[in-house]
Amino acid sequence: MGRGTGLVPSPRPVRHETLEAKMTKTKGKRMSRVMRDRIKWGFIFISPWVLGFLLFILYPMLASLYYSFTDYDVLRPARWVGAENYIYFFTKDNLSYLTVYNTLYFAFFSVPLGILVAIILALLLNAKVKGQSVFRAIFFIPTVVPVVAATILWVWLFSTRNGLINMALEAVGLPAVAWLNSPTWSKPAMIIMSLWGVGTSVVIYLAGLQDIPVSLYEAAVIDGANWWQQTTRITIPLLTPQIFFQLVIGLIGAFQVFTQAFIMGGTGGGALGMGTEAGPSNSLLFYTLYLYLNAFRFFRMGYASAMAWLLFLITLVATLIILRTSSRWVFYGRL
Amino acid sequence: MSAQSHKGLKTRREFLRLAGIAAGATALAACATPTPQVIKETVVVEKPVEKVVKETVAVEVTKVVEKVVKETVPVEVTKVVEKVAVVTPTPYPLPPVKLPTAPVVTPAPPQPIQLFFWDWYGRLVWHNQDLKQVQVDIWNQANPNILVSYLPSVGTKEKVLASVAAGTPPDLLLTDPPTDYVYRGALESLQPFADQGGHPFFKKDIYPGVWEAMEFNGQLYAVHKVVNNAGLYYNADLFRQAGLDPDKPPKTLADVEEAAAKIHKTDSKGNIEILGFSPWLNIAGIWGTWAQAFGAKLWDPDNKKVTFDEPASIRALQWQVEYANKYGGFQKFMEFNDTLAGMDPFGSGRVGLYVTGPWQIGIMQDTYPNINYRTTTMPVPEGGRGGAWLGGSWLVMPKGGKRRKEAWEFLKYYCGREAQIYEAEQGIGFSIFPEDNAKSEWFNSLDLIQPFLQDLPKCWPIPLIPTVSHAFFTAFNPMVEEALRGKRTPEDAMKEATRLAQAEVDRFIKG
Repeated sequence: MGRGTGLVPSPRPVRHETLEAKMTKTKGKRMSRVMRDRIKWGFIFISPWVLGFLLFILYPMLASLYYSFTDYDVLRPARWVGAENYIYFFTKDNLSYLTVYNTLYFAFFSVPLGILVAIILALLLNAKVKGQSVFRAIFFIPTVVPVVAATILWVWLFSTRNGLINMALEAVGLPAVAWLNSPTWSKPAMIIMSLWGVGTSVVIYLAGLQDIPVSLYEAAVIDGANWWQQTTRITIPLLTPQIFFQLVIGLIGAFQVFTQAFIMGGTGGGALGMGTEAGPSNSLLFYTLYLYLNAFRFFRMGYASAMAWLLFLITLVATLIILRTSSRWVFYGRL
Repeated sequence: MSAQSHKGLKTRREFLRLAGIAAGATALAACATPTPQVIKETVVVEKPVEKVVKETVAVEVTKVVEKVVKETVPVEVTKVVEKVAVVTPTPYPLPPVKLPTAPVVTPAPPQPIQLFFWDWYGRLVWHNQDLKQVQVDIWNQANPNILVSYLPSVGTKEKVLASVAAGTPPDLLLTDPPTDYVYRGALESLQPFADQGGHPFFKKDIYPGVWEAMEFNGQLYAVHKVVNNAGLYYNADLFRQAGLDPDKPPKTLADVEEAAAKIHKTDSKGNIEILGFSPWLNIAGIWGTWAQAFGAKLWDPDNKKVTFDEPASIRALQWQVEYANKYGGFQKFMEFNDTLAGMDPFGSGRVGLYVTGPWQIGIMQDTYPNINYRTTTMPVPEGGRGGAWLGGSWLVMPKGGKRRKEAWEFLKYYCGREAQIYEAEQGIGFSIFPEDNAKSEWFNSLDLIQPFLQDLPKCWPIPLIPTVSHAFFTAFNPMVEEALRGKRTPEDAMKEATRLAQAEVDRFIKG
């Protein structure tokens, strides 16, 4: 991300750097006017991004790193407490492990299921049938619906006694489930809802599918491969770059799940709480929701900052693990 | 939350106007309680004619009058009866609008200055009046050089924190319980201004529970604007169907349980069809309502100790657990909630008894005018005291405001006697000055309001714990739920809640 310096075509980065160094160090040695001009304009063009990054990303990040080692309620000056916030998270907070569990549970199911569903849909939508584009649009539309509106609709669908989902379950002879009113089923409900929004992933897989050379399938057909063999031996392996991308992005997204829980917890959970609720028995108290509550409800900005950095580390480690294993299963199409 | 969700409906208002004019003064008086009694009364009222008719029919029928009466009488009588049946839950008369007057501040600032007034809550629109804006407009008219900008829904903790940190707080903030702010030194003391006199905020003139939350370390820090408390609503039709007499309101918690048992209906699967009573609907479940009703204070300010495990608090939880188990467990109550699909539970007509604040009267009139209901005081548990906590909004000055003197002048007006009773009457809450509530002709004409007023003097503030939000969210509420779901005994749950909340209080005090 952010590597594109954009409009001015510049030589390879290595040379670019040396030139830059020369420019600052040795004024005497002449650089071509054109080159200097290019560098100047290059910096001007990337400055919005650079400034935005420095002011609105890097500075707040470093500030939060500092605050994570302080007792800070925003209203009074921060007080240095060393690692106390981190120790508190692991040893004293009665809800911290619950939030980690809730979040991992959600990520563990929603990410792989999301990938699976999206691939199946992409395969179906890739079939050359009449009205293909209409079907594609239909599956993409949910991602356009604002999360808040969609969540409220899903809360109705999940209603224990009047919801369409339970009506459907009962119609086929299955028992109704308490969904958002049950500590056991509230997270599965969230996961099901998350699958509704796979439209973006489907588009990415569709693009991936278009990239697979037709010649491979032709060769396979000549060799007598059936549909299943073609899918597992050609399509899936050649989709692994997209799967890899979705896995990383999906995992990061799942670790940060907030809005849906914020809304669902409040609507489903019912009576106990203070406006913001987190589902029955706090079963929808996800990590970022708890982080938010600490920062803005409990006036514990320092602790919330520590939580944010822990989340950052967890995400980083998880991503690195996936990256490390990727060489074994991601196939970049050199045949 | 002590929410006051009001919706102003034009049509409704017009309808009421017409109805009011048509019914005339006597009808208005009778309208106060929308109950069967009222029905009878309206019948009488509307028919001096009818009475004559009846008499003629009854007494002089047979011989003399036949010719005269035949055409007019029977038709009219049937018409009247139908009309009465429809009108059953009579809307209450609108309060007369007595706008507050704003004092002219002298000397006025030579140049116009602007005060920013943030509200944690949204606009309060009621019978086409934007109540808070109206009061601000009156002030601005009287004081063109101290212009107040009223900004609803921006006084959330997120924004207040950011503005205070940035050194640009609003001059005035209307907030939910200011406890968290006060303990963190985020508010200006109002005491220096109060010491100068010329204001109505004296302990002797204000409800004791209200005063308690306005003071901190002997200094005035916040002024409560329009207070409200919980009361018990009950559905008169469901009462009658269950063979209960709506004229005998339940007084004790035992009465409530008895009535609820008769009203409560489940289907073949044990799902609740008609809910007799739920201790966890609306505000009944928050800020330790039942613990307070049982007599627990939940906080010991002298020793800085959280006392969630007071005997009264444990008894309250014990009672809740027993109540839940009597009807198939806590889960059944939770599942009932979402069958309402966004409807007001009491307005749905499927709830027999319901604990909430006085604003519900307005919701009923605006949205559910066909529900025939009455109100009474919070049920008193055995050995308990009834009542519960005081809700509403508090006007404070966040630290760092530049126009404190002018802000105080506005505060004196906005939280003063006239503005309190104006907003209280129009928005259905109460002035913090008992004397004004007692004098309000409109309150006195409304039987629905009276129980709340009776309870007000014995209500307590929301526990003044320095980390109150944290204490309830992470300790009290989860532990109550664990007990309700049978994972802990009530005693164990409250002991653990106390331990957790106290740890955070200690950490806070140490810092």
